[in-house]
Amino acid sequence: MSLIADFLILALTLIGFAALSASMNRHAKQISNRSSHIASPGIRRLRLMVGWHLLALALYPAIKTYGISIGIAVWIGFLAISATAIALLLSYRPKMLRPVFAVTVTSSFIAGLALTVFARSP
Amino acid sequence: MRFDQARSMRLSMSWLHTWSGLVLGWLLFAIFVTGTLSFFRNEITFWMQPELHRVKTNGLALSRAQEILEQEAADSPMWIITLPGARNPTLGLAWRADAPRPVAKTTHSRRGGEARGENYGNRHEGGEGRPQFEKNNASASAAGNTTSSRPGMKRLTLDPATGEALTARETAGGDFLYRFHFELYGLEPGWGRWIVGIATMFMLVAIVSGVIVHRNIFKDFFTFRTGKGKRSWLDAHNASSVFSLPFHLIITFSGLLLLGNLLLPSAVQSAFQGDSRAYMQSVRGGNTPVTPPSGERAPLTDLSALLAFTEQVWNGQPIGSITVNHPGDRRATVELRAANMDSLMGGRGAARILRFDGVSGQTLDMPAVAPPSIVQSVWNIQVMLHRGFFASPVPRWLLFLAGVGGSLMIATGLVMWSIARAKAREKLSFGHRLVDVLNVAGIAGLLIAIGAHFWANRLIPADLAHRGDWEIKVFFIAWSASCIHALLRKRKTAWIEQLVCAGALIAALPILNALTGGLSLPGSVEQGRWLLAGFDICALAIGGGLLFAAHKVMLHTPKFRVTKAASAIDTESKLSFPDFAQLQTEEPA
Repeated sequence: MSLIADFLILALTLIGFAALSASMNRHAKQISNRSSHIASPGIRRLRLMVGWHLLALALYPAIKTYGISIGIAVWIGFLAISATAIALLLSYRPKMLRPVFAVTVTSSFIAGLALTVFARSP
Repeated sequence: MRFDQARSMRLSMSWLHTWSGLVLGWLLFAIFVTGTLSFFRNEITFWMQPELHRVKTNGLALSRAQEILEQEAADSPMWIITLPGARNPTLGLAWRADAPRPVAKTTHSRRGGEARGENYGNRHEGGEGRPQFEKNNASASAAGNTTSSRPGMKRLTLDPATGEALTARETAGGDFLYRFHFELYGLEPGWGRWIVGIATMFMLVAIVSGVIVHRNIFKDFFTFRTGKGKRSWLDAHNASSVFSLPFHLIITFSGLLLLGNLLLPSAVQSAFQGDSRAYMQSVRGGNTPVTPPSGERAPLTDLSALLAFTEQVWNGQPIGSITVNHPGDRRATVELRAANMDSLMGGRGAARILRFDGVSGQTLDMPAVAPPSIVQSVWNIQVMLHRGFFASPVPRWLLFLAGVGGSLMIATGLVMWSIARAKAREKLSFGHRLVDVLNVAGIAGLLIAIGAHFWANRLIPADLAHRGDWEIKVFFIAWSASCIHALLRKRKTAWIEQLVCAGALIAALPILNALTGGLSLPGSVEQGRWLLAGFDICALAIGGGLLFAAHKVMLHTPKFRVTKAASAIDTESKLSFPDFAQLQTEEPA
């Protein structure tokens, strides 16, 4: 139960940071399949908003699982790990970011669903 | 930088960041590394006592423990039984052995004998710690399996399944690293803490000025450019700083707060007339008076029944310890305390407690404790975070990883000082050479010393008197040797040799563990002993990382060749040494 929540926090912060990095000019180029093509400013602004919101959203399962004071500490810890992971991916394997992104989105969706089901059942 | 000329804010801050980080940087690195390891102090101490590795975990011989205590400590005013848990699989008994004192109403605090004014060095912490090391206590090694780590407290370690008494080797354990973290070693009591306090202040200055100097926290957030010399070092320094910035800030500030009583004594002087014990009680709050004994004898109720009842009520929440006040008296009380905390705000007293009448076994109401004031809450949050007391495994690992990030931040910063100034200089100035030597000895040398400390733990005969002290001596001998080595060798060879040495020492720890009586890594994984497996896996990872670093240093070839001409240019433009401000503004090539 707690492990699913931990995974969900990690996944949400990973997606959040991935979206944030994709909103930046420099990194959008790295991620893009066609080297000359960069996503339009509108899309990048959308990614920026989504990224910030997902990072904030990750605070919810943290507080729900650990209580407010420990939850915030745990959230900050996961933020650091995810940011490091994304920065390393961008530096060494930028093309891996898309598949990682896809896997994390799917699995976090499942984790979120599982948590909701667990929370409903007494 | 010239001080007689006007300069920009950023340049001033850059200067401040550079020098506040450098001057005590090596000490800060040692404080950070030992502090990071201290998050796992119990686990490290357990690893260092291979005699305990094979305790059986099926079953809990609590009745046997109760029998032993009734035999050995019938007259003791207090027992503490530490139950096996995620952080220590043995069953620990402790009892106060001093002659029963005339009991005043508030003699016993709820945490047992902790309100003794030894604010930072508490040996028994919320039922979590099981300290076995006392450097000044000569009797500890002679007393066989009943060691007393604090005057007045006697301890016994049991196999949790059978209730047999276990004899473990005397070891400095993780407690040495823990105490080194805030008071160094071998200094007069106050001095070590003063030095650490001053270093912490430098750290705080470096962090705040670093944030100001960093031009593009958001724009360069994910940027790590590899293979670009000092630019890459700056990126690595930035990344390790920024990603865990909240951690660095809080851990540094709360570290100052923990030493605040020492650094700013006037608060205690003015508000409490110098009574530091009263001050600590007021800060911590929540000392519940224990009812005085009646003097009538009455048999203690069965503790196992209370444990089973509590397990049911708490719905599986792990129980950390059982405290019995006035065992054998008609007014005996029993308190069961949860292993983990639910919140940081209440401080150490915030763990759930269930209290029973010690004779009838009926539950008692907990005496009302005033909720912590705002000041107390702030203190509690900071202190609890700093010590990682609260933590179940996941938060603890997060703290540990953030600590590793902090250590990397300091190490990259120190190396960068040298690299940013190394440009085409044929003969190093004395200062530059000194920084290079201290970098090798302070970073790689410290890791060698820690590795040697663990090796000494296994290679020094288990029955040698004062062997805990010898483990510490080996630590400092290894560190001194690395200093001398760094002085004698050229910079690059010194780095390679010391990194290889540290990496090999640490990566081989799992093998040493298996060969010297410990539970081997495959065995501990198979049996699910993650406490031991975690240590071995971490040793492999850290050792491997150091060997990889050595490999990278070996492959490194400087981009520019040092020539006479280049060094002439450099001496001409002596004043414009590259510094952070300049580096930050340079556009990437």
